[in-house]
Amino acid sequence: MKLDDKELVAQTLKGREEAFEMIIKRYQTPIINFIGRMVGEYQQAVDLSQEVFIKAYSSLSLFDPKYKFSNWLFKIASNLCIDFWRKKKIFTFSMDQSISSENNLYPQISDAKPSVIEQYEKKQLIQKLEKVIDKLPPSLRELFVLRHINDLSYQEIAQIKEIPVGTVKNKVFRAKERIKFLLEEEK
Amino acid sequence: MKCLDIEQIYHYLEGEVSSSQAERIEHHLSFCMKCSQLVRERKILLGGIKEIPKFTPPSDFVEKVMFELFPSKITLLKLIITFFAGSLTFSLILLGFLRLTGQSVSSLLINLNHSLWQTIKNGAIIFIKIFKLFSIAIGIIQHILAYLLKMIKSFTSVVGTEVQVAAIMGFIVLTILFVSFLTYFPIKKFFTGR
Repeated sequence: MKLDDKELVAQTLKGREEAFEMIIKRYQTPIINFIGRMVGEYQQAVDLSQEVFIKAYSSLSLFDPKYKFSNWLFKIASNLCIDFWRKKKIFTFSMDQSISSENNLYPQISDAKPSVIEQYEKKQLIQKLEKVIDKLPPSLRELFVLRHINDLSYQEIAQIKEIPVGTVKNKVFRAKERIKFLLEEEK
Repeated sequence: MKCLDIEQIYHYLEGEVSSSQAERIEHHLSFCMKCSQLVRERKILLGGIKEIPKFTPPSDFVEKVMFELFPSKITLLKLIITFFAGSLTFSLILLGFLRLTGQSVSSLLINLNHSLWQTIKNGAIIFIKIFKLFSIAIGIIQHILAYLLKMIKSFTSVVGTEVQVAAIMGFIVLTILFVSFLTYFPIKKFFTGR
């Protein structure tokens, strides 16, 4: 019988260590993928992911069962990524930053001329995509990764980042258009 | 219906619009070449994004996290498993050996006892030979040191005190540099793993 996350959390809090082991098994891949795309280095992602689970275990008693456990875990992962960038003195960001203030980061979207995206072969397109995701500003990359690498819904992302759903949708849209622009620039 | 905006196209492709909206969009696309082209491009982009390869966690990821969280218990478990696995392997090998050689346990023990004494005897001979070689090496080192002392004695009788102090200091500095050079890389590798 597959136990749900909340049941596993309750059992861990009762002292059943194997329940937490099941949580790690369940979420190791999504967390490593999220952090991996955020920091761009596999080994660093593995180390940070370990930290996520250790932090989650140590603050498990603070988890509010009203919320989805996976959202809570991604929130820890997101905060660890921000701390990591701060330590490395990489440009960090605030989710409260208004969209208009980010406008200078993006080119004006113009679709008058035909796109070169169709000229890429599939394999080549995927390789280029991996490359250009690393070039996205962190504020967009994070939401893009949560939506399109981790397949979370806009509502879930909004809950993780504590921002309105509309803002999430808009930023993910901007991320995709930025990716398209970068792909065309690369060609 | 007027032409689609890009955000609307993404919502349509990701199934984020209602069925009535989707129908309206599809109707528009049936005659608008410009919007159809925009949809085609975004479809390719989303298709590519979907196929981005996933990172695979290392096979020992769960074990490592569990070890960080519960070190003693994991070690105890490992010890028990190792002990049982070791005992089982040893028993199987012993059983196989007895079957193959047709020996009983008591004859095996007598043979082992005999082999043990033989080994100790051989070991003692080797030990004496090594000891002899060692004493010869010590004698050679003693001769070299005596020769070096003679050289230093004749050196100090020729040069002044300042030069002697400078020479000793120079020798110490060179020795430190040499030892540091020899030990730096192994120590660095030990601590950083690189």
